[in-house]
Amino acid sequence: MTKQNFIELFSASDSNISETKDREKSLEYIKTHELPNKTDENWRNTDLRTLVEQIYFSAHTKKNRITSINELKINGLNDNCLVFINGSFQKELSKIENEKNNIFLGSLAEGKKMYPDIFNKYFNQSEKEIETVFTALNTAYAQNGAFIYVSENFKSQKPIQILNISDSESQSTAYQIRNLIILAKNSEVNVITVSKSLSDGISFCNSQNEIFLEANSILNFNIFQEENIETRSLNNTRLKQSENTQSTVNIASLSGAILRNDIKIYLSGENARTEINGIYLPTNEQQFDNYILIKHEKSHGKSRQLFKGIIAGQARSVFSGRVLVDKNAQKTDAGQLNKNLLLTDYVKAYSRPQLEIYADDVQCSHGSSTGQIDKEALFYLQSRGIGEKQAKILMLNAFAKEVIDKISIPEYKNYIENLFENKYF
Amino acid sequence: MLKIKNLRAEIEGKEILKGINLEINAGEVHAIMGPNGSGKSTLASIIAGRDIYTITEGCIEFEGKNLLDLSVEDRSRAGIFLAFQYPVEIPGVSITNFMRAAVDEHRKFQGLETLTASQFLKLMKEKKELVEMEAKLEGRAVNEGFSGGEKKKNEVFQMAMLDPKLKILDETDSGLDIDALRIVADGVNKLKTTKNASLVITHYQRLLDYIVPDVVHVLYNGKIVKTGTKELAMELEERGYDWIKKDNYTLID
Repeated sequence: MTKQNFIELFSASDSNISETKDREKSLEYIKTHELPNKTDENWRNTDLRTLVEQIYFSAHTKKNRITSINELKINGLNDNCLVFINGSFQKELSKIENEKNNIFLGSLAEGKKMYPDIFNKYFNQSEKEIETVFTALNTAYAQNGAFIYVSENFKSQKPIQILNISDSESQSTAYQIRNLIILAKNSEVNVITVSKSLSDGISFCNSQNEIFLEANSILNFNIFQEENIETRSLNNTRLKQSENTQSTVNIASLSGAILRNDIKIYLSGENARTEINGIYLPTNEQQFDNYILIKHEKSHGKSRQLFKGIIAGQARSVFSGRVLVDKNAQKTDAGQLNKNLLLTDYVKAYSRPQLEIYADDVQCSHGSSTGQIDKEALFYLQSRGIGEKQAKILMLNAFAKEVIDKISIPEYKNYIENLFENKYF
Repeated sequence: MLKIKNLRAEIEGKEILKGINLEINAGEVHAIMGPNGSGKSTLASIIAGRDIYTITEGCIEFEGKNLLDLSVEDRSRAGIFLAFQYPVEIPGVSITNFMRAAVDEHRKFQGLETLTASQFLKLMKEKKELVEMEAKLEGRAVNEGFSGGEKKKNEVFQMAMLDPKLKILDETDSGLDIDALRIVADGVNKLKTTKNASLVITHYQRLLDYIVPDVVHVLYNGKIVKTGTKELAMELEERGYDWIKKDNYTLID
């Protein structure tokens, strides 16, 4: 589809989220820019043809198609859950406990109505310059999404799930999601975004998360992607952190046709810290990409990145990790590591660690390694009576464990461990 | 138990074993000695099933079965155990999970029920004591960051867990101080019964003071050139390998 097709498609949604000026600015950008393609440095290794060449229709939500989301949720997590099907909010399927008014959970449309001041203060404030036609489309025609506001000094214990379900059968569908998460001063929250498919059809989800951490707040943010093999998903997430904040982002990409995560973390206050981890397991002809930017803007910041991929079949992956240390971000401590395990001779894994440092008193490290299963270790395990297949599974588990162990929500960690065990059998 | 007949093997076109004949019966301890590069470790690897070597001639029978037809894991399940000269580090795989998988597979193969968690832990505890292995090692990844002594103890510990019929020790003494050597050898000796056998590969006689062999073979240039009793090992200790080499030149001439 051309960008004009995308405009017609997304403008058909009954969107009333964005302010007119934001919409006009976005449309102006779209007019003068092309859809991302291989000539852009940041899109060189992401083959978007299967995404762009497909014809999509706008998503009609069939009412009452599902009555229960128990099968789609993370097993064992029965607390707060916001449910969206093809981008539209499903209040009756959601479970919302606005714990003593210390936290607001709901749809973005509701949040805008109930808390206009907060909404206006934060919405669309994380993107300094429009990045791509897709982010511009999201801002211009954002339809709905989750809105989470954690008030000052409130430490929310129960993890919040944002369940994003794609549903397309006879017609391939496209939709947008826009989530806004705000942590007021000294607050704490755990969030898991879960992307799943309800049917086997083709869908495209263009999503954006805007997340703001005010001083001394702590965020644990998890992205879980297990969609059908026809799903194309562009996920653009931006975190803006004030002083003394701590964020942890864990990404698990298990299934989909194209899954691309663009994560940008701005450490805009002193002593802001972030840790971002990812495990990606593409197989067949899947393409899973992670483009990470961490911008150290103030001093005493700390960032860690750990990304591991197991690439099977004829799959492709990209890890691009860019750390940018501003001139006045002295005493920055940044580290990143990417490891890829290639299971066949037909896979491609791109790894691009990049450090750009303009301050002089910093500690930065990066590393990248790509290889195959260690044959000596495999022989060692087999020589103790463990079959070849099981020996490989032991080794793959061991490879992924370092990343999975970073997940701090026990039910969620358990859920991923079980999925992982079954994936390669 | 083990019968090797006229075994010839090569790697990348280079012949390493040039017609090995060896027979080991239950209850026996055999030692293979020989200078570096004579083919000792190659022989051990081939029995265990390492596929980087090509067998060009001969056969290996284990309890009447053609060993060369079996996969690496099936050889282990059938009762062959190789204690590695250089045990591999396997990051992320804990010793407990590793041994759990191995013991389960062995029991399945023997038609036995798998152990319950508590039975398994009891077995682990019992066998660890045998090699004086420290408790803290079991939670750690296999061989990762282990000292030379810890790695070798870990090999004997695994041997005890799997209770093999044929134990092959490939230069188990290399890199061990005298205390670790004694512990490792004691462990091996405690596992000795009339039903199992050992093949001890070593460069030095030192290990044979602790693990006393019934038969000593000298491997040189891909062939067993001398077979004798433990006194042969003493002689080698005194005289070195040069006279063997010299004798063989005479033989070839």
